[in-house]
Amino acid sequence: MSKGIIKKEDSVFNLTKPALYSIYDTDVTRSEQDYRLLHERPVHLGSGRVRHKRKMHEVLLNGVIAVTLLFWTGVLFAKLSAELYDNRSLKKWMLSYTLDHISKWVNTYVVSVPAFAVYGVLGVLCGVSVPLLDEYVFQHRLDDGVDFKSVLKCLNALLGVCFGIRTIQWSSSMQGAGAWCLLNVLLWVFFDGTWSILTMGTAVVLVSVVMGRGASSSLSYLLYIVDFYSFSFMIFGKLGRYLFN
Amino acid sequence: MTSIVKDISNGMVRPFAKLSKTSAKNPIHTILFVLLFATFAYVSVIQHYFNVFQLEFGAGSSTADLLKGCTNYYRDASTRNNWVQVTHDDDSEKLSQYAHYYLFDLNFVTKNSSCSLPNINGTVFESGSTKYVLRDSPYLSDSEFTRATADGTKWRLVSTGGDFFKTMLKLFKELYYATFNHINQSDPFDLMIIVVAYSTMIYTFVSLFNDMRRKGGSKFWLTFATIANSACSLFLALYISQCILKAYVPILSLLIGLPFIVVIIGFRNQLKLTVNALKRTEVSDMSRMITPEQVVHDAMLQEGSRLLQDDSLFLFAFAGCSIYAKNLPALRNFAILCSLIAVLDVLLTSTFYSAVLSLKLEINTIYRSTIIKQTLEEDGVVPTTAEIISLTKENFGSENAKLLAQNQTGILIAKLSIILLIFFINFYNFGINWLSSSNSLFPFYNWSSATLGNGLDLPEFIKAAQTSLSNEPVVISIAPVRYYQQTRVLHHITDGLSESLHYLSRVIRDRFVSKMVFTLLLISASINIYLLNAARIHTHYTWGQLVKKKNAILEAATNAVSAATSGTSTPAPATVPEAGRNTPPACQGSKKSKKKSKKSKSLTTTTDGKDEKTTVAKPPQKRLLTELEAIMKEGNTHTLENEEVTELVTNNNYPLCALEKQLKDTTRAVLIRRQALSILADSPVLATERLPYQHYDYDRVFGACCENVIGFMPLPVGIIGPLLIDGESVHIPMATTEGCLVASAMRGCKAINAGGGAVTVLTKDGMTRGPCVRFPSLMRSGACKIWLDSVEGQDMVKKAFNSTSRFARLQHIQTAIAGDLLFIRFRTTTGDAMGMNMISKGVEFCLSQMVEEFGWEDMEIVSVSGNYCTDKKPAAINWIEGRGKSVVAEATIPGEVVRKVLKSDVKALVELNIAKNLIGSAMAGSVGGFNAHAANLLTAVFLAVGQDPAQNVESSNCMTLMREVDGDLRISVSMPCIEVGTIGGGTVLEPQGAMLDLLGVRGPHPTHPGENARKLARIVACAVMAGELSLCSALAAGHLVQSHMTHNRGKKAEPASTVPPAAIEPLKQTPEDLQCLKEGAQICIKS
Repeated sequence: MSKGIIKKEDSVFNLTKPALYSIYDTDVTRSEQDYRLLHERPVHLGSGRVRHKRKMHEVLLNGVIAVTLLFWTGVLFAKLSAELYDNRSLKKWMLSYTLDHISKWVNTYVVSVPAFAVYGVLGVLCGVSVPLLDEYVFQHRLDDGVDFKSVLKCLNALLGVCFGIRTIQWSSSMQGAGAWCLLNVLLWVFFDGTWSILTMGTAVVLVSVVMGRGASSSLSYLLYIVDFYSFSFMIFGKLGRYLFN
Repeated sequence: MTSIVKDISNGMVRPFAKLSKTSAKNPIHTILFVLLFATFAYVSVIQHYFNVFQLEFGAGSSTADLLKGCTNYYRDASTRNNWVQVTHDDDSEKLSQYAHYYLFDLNFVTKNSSCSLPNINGTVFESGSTKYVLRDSPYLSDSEFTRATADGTKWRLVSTGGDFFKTMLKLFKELYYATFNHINQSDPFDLMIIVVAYSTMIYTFVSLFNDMRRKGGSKFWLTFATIANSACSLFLALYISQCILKAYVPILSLLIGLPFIVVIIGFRNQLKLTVNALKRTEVSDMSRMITPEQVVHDAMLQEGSRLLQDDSLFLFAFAGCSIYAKNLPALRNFAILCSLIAVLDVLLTSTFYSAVLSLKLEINTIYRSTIIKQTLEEDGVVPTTAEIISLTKENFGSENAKLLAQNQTGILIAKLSIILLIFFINFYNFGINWLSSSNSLFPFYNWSSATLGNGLDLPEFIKAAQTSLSNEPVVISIAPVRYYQQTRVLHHITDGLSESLHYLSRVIRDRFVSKMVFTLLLISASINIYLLNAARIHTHYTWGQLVKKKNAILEAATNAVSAATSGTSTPAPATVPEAGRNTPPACQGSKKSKKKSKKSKSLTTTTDGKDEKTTVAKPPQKRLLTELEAIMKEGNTHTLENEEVTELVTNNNYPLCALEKQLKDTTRAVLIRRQALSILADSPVLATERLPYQHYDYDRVFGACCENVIGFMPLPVGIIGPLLIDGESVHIPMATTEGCLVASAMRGCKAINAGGGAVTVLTKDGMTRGPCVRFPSLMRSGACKIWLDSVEGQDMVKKAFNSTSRFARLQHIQTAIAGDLLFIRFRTTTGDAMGMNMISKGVEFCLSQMVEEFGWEDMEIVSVSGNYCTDKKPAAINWIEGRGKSVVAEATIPGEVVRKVLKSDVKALVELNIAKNLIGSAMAGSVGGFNAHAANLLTAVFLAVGQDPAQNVESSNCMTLMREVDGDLRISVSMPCIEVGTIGGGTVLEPQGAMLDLLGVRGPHPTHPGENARKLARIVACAVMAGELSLCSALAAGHLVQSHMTHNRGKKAEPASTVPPAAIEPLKQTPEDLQCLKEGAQICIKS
């Protein structure tokens, strides 16, 4: 075809052409590579499945369950911190001093509530902060690591470390705290390795150290605070991710 | 940080992947060696712990041990000559200073009171069958009792009066008290931690079983192998740490620490490796003929980095800990053990587990082959052809699998031997050790009876006779009760067994014998490996010989024919391209085929299609027809020349359809048939190569796909895609001669992908067959209908139907009555086969059962297919009730994509769809034809992937719906009766099978029967949707052009910018192009 005038031979050719040719425009047979398109929009293409949109009451129910679980986990962790001691300078209740201090501060300056409520609320805050950071600040795409088993593993590791701290005859508190500190780094790499938990955990640890100085100013004690609160925050972060996923 | 670790482990995984490949290549050697070492380590470790246990807790024969088990009383001046009970620990000084006597309470248990009791020195009191013996030493020799008494009775020591249940009760009581004491002594918080750790460990094991069953498709053995892998790591690590590094980890530390390690390390990596390997075989083994070792290697390459990363971190952590806490031996030793576990976990996963996985893959392949054979046979394919197909290389990943397939009993024996081996090792470890020990289990707990409660009371006769004893301070230790029984035959047997085991263990422990046994064990293992290997090599060789023999026969036949036709005795070339038989035309002789394409050639006379030489010549001597007939009657037709067989056929002495059977060479049969038909039908075209026949595997066709074969019809095959279907990217082949169809569907795919891909829902899966039966009266027909509709009738028929096949399961029976005729529509699952033959067999059996067993003797079977199915005919019942797979596919195309890619408009498309596909089809009285050209796409895909093209009639039933959602186009196709299968029919042919491989759905699904066929149905529906979208868009574009032209004519002065954006794209074309499109649209409407 030239300049829009249909030549005679074109008409004849049209008769022998399949009917479909006449329907489509000219570039239908143009070879275009679709792979480019696939690679350009991987997120949009995703799994191709329509994600089930949750109803309002389902979202609310999930939220209530998640908050309740985080609340009671917070209470349990406060109890755990109180029970953690070694056979040297770290005594019972020393690690829970930070939480007690926060509780007292809240009772004095904010609202008068029982201590366990403060612990529970702190647990909820820790659990909620990580998914929020993931979503809005770091935009992590978690391939795996938000399943129940990984939370369980993390919890198990913490209990194992606590058991070790309590039962092993350490030469000094510094030795126990140092060992745990070194282990914490590897456990973070092993279990998580995300920036959101690292940054937020660092902030939590700093606050805990500042708040917990009242009980003792020894380096080993402060290191214990760093160890316990950083690991605990990681567990809360993972639990929060699991519950709010 | 994690990315750095990932990168490092990715780089390091290659050697481990190679190691896993080597192990997977020699699975038997690897498993045997690892198990041998692990067993050695296990036995050593358990013995080590047992020795420590004996040292720590053993109730030996020493005086101190005896005193621990006794109840002690003392009397001196301070106690005013009264007996006072003391414990050994508290008053050991007193016990050592005072005169010490031992009182033995000997209880002779017998039902026969006339039996005489043995005379024992030192007997101070005797009452019935009980004797009290007072000695000044704690020793009481058994030989005093084992001697025969006056009446010949022999007595022997037994535990707690011979009551096994009492013994067990005591054992549990002892355990309970021991546990209770530990619990009381432990901190509740520590206890809670241990309980949590053990609970999570149990959960880890349970979830491993569950995950392996769900994802790995293994109910037990792979899970067992995973646990065995970790157990081997543990025992080898324990052996290295205790026996080589001398870093002893107490059993208590191990029991406390192990749950934490198990939970944290877990089995995730082994599970991932398994799933990865199994997925690879599911998808790719059919097309790429990938071997198990390659699969394991690739899986390891992909998943091994995570394994390496995890274990490296563990190694780093625990090795650091062992250095950091070197002054804490318990922690250091445990850390060393954990480091070793981490290292061994990687090594054993790369060797032992890879080998097990490789075996599992081979077994899966065997299973798959068996399923293929069974399905094909059920689908009506002749057994020999089914075997050829099931044993082809595509269906077997490797020769090993083929060999293992012939030796399935061996697999069972191997499994059994593993169980027996475990039993034997544990028997050796615990049984022999404890039996051979002087502190065997039962006496140990016999002693413990004294330690329970308040101990034994001082007998009255001692209290009464206290005056007879001297007034000096004295201690009496009352030993626990000893029970004796008369020696019986059973005791002789158990004693003999115990003695021989004891003797054997003593012999094995001997310095020289132990070395010799170990050497023999090594030699035995080596011989076993050698023999197993030799068996494999032998079978390899035998298989190779068989193949060679087959090839030689074919070659000889070829040579004979060549020699006969050429009149010379030119020997066949030494090397014959083996792949020739099955190689498709595209792969071979492409240059020659180009040369040939210009002119048609006369037929070749080679019979096996190995080359394309055209050597046409006459045989040297022409035999008479009578001679030929005589040879034929002798059954030696295959020895005749082609021309001679042709002559027989043309003279009506030989049926055309029997050529394959008689000649035993399908390609030669095709050639002769063509030659004969060219004469008989006077059609010289068959004597040319215009219809190709060479390089085609007619073995697969014979008895399965076609009869009276004279060649094959090549069709051009195009491809569309990638098309995202349920998140998976698929390339879809289409065999068509209609130009533009593939290009059009391709554009549809592009638009669908741009919208995120297609989503499909499969609502029903069941093939139908509707026989017609007749009864003498309407009353009987009605009664039968009511019976068939009842639960009882459905159940009875279902039972009968299901007994006919492994795959077909009757879902439902629907009935309809017309006069005295009764139509029964059976709907059944058919696995991955389309399954019409499978159903027909079941239906025939059900009908015969109805007549013979279910009380419908007067039922006359009019036809096994009464058109109520309805197969290959348009019918509303298919459209309403569905047949085969009922699939709905949906996609959302963004408005922008509709405009830019499809060059159309959402509103125009929706309007066109309603007008054309819904109203138009309704006006035409269509049944299931509410679509633009579903049959076009469907038939093209059907042809490409070996489906029955005639079934396009009902399979093309489709309703295309479109609507606008937030400016985007939502398109769906509802196809209630897509009839497809991935095994049987045309899918057994190599080209069609290759196209199924391309889609990843060839053959039966290894774990979920029917899943491949369902996936194929989804793919077909999505291809149809792509075609529908593209064609409707083009039609709507044509409509837009027309409307715009009208619009332009009316408002020529208006600038182009006022035109709405949706219509801008088409308007960019020149008026001439618009004219062309207009004509195109008109042609479309006319067509």
